[in-house]
Amino acid sequence: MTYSHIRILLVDDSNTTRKILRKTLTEMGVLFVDEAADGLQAWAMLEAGAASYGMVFCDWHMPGLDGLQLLEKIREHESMRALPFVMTTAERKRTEVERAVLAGATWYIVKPFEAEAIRNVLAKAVLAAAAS
Amino acid sequence: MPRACSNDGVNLFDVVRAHEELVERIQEVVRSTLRIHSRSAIKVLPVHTEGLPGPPDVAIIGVLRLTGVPAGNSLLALGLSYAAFAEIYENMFGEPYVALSEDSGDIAGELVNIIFQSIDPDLRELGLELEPSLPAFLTGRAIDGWSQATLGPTVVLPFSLEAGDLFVAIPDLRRRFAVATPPDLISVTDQP
Repeated sequence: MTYSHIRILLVDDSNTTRKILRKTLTEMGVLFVDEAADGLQAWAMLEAGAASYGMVFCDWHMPGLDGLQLLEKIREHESMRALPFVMTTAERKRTEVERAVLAGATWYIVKPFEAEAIRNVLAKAVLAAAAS
Repeated sequence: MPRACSNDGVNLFDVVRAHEELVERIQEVVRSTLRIHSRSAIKVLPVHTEGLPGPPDVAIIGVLRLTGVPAGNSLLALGLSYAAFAEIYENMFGEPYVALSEDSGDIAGELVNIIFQSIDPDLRELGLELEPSLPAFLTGRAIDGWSQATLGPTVVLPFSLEAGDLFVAIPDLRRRFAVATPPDLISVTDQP
């Protein structure tokens, strides 16, 4: 499967996590990766180029607009309702996972994540996009 | 069965028992985290309850300040030797590690944050609702000033990688409660 066409937005206040995710995605063949350090920056980037993003990987706990709030804004936006959204967080409480899914998270990955988990959601997103 | 309770409602017997479970849980979390982020196998070393064993070989410490009821203020810390940190860095990013920097602090902070988030459900089951600060880090001279006095009663969980050592420091719940709860405030009640 090829991922060279998909444009991904990474949202995390940890430069480390963004760097690890970028490296992982690049090694899988993703060519277009943008980064935002918080929800507000991410929202501005999404609004400016909503049509071009094929997927968002987003941390939950961030200062300012957090991952859940960003997700809610995305789901309320006409052109971003179906945008694949992966919550990447160390938060593993069942109730919190349910909150994220109810808010519209497409997938949920608990940190520390393995490359295989990233590959799985990437493949699912590409397959879903091809089928739609 | 008689059970000792502190004045804030936390059962001291539960705290002691849960303390052992918490230590095991943290060891498991650190092992699984480093299984992903390091090249070599991680060894779990004997736990220290009287502070760090000898002069610590620590290059960087990631710190979360925890506030909440009823544990009061405490810290969760992850200390790494230069060699252990370099091994993790090189495995994370596939590039040689050069020197400590702001990025290093971000890595140490993110690792300690992952450890806290992983044990948070266990802490909540104990009735310890702790709010973490944003992760911070210490290097160089700041580490010299880092002491038991800063942390209060602490348990140190050491680990080793092939390249070097690391440790996690957590509040000693047993001594923390013993200090926070004077004997005249401990009551004995009958539980069904």
